[in-house]
Amino acid sequence: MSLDAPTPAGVTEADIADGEPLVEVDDLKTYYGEGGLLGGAPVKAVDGVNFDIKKGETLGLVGESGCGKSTLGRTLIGLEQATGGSVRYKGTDITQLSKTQLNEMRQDVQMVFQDPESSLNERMTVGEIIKEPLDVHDWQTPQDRRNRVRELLDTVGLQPEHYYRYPFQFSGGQKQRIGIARALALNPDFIILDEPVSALDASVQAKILNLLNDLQDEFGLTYLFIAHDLAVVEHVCDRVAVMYLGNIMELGDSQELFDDPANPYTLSLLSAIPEPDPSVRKNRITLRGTPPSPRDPPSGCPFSTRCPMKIRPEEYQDLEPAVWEAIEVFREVLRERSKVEYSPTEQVRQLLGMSDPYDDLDDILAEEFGDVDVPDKVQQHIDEAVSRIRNGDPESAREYLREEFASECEAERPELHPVGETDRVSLCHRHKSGYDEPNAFVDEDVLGE
Amino acid sequence: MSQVDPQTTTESSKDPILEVENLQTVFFTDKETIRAVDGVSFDIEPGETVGIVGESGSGKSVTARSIMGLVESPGRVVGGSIRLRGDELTDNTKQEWQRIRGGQIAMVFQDPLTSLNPVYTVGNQIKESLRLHQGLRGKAATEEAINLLEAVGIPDAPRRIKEYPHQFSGGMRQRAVIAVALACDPDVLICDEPTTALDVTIQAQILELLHDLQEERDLAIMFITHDMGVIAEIADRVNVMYAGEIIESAPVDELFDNPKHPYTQGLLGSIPSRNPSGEPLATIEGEVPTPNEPATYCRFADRCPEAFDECEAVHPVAVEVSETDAEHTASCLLYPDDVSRDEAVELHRSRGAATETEVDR
Repeated sequence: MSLDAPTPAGVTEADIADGEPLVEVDDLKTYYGEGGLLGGAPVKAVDGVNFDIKKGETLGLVGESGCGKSTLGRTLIGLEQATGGSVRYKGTDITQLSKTQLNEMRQDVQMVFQDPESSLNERMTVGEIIKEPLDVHDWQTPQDRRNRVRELLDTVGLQPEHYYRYPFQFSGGQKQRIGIARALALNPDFIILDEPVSALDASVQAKILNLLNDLQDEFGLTYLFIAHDLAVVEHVCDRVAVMYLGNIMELGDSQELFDDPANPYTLSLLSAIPEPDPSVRKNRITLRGTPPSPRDPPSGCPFSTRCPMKIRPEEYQDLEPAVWEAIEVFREVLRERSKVEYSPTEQVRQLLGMSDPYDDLDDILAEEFGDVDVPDKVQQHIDEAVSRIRNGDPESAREYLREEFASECEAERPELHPVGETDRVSLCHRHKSGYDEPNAFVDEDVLGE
Repeated sequence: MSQVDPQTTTESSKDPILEVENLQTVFFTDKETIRAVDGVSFDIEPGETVGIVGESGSGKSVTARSIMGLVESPGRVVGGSIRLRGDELTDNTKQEWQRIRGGQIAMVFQDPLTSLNPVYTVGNQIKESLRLHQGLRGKAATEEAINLLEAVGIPDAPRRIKEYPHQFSGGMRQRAVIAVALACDPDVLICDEPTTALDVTIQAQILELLHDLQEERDLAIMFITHDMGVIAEIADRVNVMYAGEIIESAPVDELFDNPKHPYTQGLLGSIPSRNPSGEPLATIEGEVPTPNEPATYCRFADRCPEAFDECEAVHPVAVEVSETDAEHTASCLLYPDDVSRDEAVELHRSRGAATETEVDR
C-alpha cells in the first residue's frame, strides 16, 4: 500500500493542465504464470516499460499480436495485476490500490474493447448496457440515469428509440458506438481504446475514428489508442509507442516517427505496410521468421533474433549478406530444435540410441549453406559445431556458435537513446557512438518515398 | 500435373484460364431470397492476379466459393457460367468437382487454424493431397512434402512435417496451407483474405511468397481482400464489389489514380493514409444493403452523393467509362462520361433489359 491516501478519482478536480502527464508508467512489468511448482519460466508480456501520457493527447500503442500491447492497456486500468513497477494516475499509484479504491478510480478511467460482438451483453437492452456503469457507481437518481443514457445515445450518433433494442439489432459500427457510449457514461478523463476499429470495414472505421476525435475535442479526453493498423495510428495519434516482445522499442512524436523512424524494428514494421497506392514502389525490408516466445525472450536486445541491422563481430563485418544470413538461420534452427518437446516414446528411443533428433543434419546444412559460398574462416566454425552435434552435444554447439558469431546485441540489453528533433527515444545499440545508425542501412525508398 | 490437357500446350498465354460470366448465387431463406452474387463477370489470365475488394457482405467470398463448387444449401448457383480452360464447371457432378478442387483450382482461406486439421501432422495433410491427385505414396510423398514446405519458406522442413498445426505460428500455418494448396500444381489459386488474420510483417512475407510462386509457376491468382493497401500491392487488375455486383473494374494503377464509381471514390477516400493528418476522414453515409430483391435500380443510390432520379429507376450495367478506355468499366449511370446523361441512361436501360433474369426457387 502506498502511504498517501489515494484520492477517489471521481472527486478529484482536474488540476492537471493540458500537456502535463496524466498517467506516468515507470518500469512496469506484467508477467503471467509466475511462481508455483509447475510454473516454470513466466510469460513476460510486459517487460519493463516507461512512458507518460499527457493530458489531452492521444498516445498510440502499436505492435504485432502477442507483443503485450493489450496486456499493457489492461494493466493500466487495473484489469491485470502488475508484477513490478508503478502506474501513477494523477499522482496515485494504481498498482497499490485496494479493490474498492480501484473501483472508484475506474469512474475516471474507462476502456473500449475491440470486438463489439463479445463486449456487449446480448441479453441486455442498449439502454441497460449504457446505464450499467451509472448503476454500479450509484450515480444520482434512476430518473437522472435514464436521461443521461438518452443524452449519451445522442452524443455517439444513435437514436433515442434505440434505448429498448438489443445488441443483435445493430451493425458492427453501431455496436461500437454503444461501447463508446458506455465508456463515456461516467464522464471519464482517460479512455483506453483497445483496437476500437479493427473489426470494422473501412468506411465504418472512418466514421468511428471521426466520432472519437469529436468526443476528444468536446470532453477534453485523453486516449491510449492500442492498434496494429499503423495507418490508423498515424492519422489519429499525437505520439506513438512501438512495442515488441514486451518492450517499447521506439517512442515519440507521431509525425516524426512515421517520417523518419530510428529503430530497426520501427523501420521494418513501417516498410511492411502495404500502401494503398500502386504507384508507390517500396524497397521493402522483409523480416525473417516470427517473434520469439515471450516465455523465453532472447538475451540482450529483444529484436536480436530477427534484426536485419544486427551488429556483427569485428572480423565478420565484410561477410557476404547471404552467408551471414545462412549462419543466422542455422543458429535459429538449432535454437528452435533445442526447445522441441519430444513425446515419451521418442525420448526413450533417443535414450536407447534408436533415434537421433539430428539425423537430418546433412539436409539442414545443404538447405542453409548449399547455395552460398562459405569462406574458410566461417566454414571451420560451422564444421566444429557440426562435429559437436554429431558427438551428441548440440548444447555446446549452440554455445560455440554463439561465442563466435554473437555481438553485444545478443549480450546486453540496449538502452533507450534519445533520437530525432523532439524528445523521441529508441531502444537500439546502434545509437551508441562508433556504430552506423540503423537507417544508414536502408535505401531511400524503404518507406516508399 | 499428371495428365496433360492437349489444350494447354496450344493455348497462348493471352487466353483467360478462368472465365466467370453473369454468375448468380442465391441463398433461399424462409424470410427472403438473398442474391449474394448477382451477375458477376470477370476473367483471369495465367500469371495474372485479379483482386476482388469490397466490404463485408458484398459477396466476395461467395463468389470464390461458387468457383470452387463449395456453395452449400440453402445457397445455390442459379445462373451464369464458370469456365476453366473452356470447360463449363457449373454443371459438374460431385466427382468432377473433386478432381478440379485441389487439382486445378486450389483455395487458401482466411484463418489458417481452421483450414488445417488439428489431429493430423502438417506432413500428413500435404501428403493427403499428393496421394489423391498425383498418386504419390510413402517415401516419394514425404520427399515431395518436404520440398513443398521448403518452397513456401519454412525453415527446418524435415522436422516440421512431423509437427501438428498447433506447433506452428500463424504465419507458418498460412505457409503450410499454401503448401497444401500448391501440392498438386494448380493453375488457379483463389486466396480468400489470406493475410487478414496475420500481422503486418508476416503479411509482407506471405505477399512476397505468393508473388514469387506466381512467377515460378505462372499461377493465375484470384485475391480477395477488404484491404486497399494489400490490393494495391498484389493485384494487376481490380474488381470492386458492392451488394453482390461488380461495380467497377480496372487495372490497378488506373483504379487508384482514377476511381470512377462514386462508391470506389468513397472507399478510397475513407482510407486514413489518403487523408491529410489531423483532419476528419471522409466517410460514406449509410450502410451496405442486403441484396434481397432483383436489381432494377442502383443499389448504391441511397448512399451516393451524385445520385439523380433515374438512379432509382434504371439498373446500371458495366460500361466503359469512356470510349478511349476499354479496360476500365463502371456500373454507374454517370458513364460513359463522353456522352450526354440522357444518352448514357438510355444505354444502361437498353443493355440492362437484355441481361435481365428472374430467380426461381
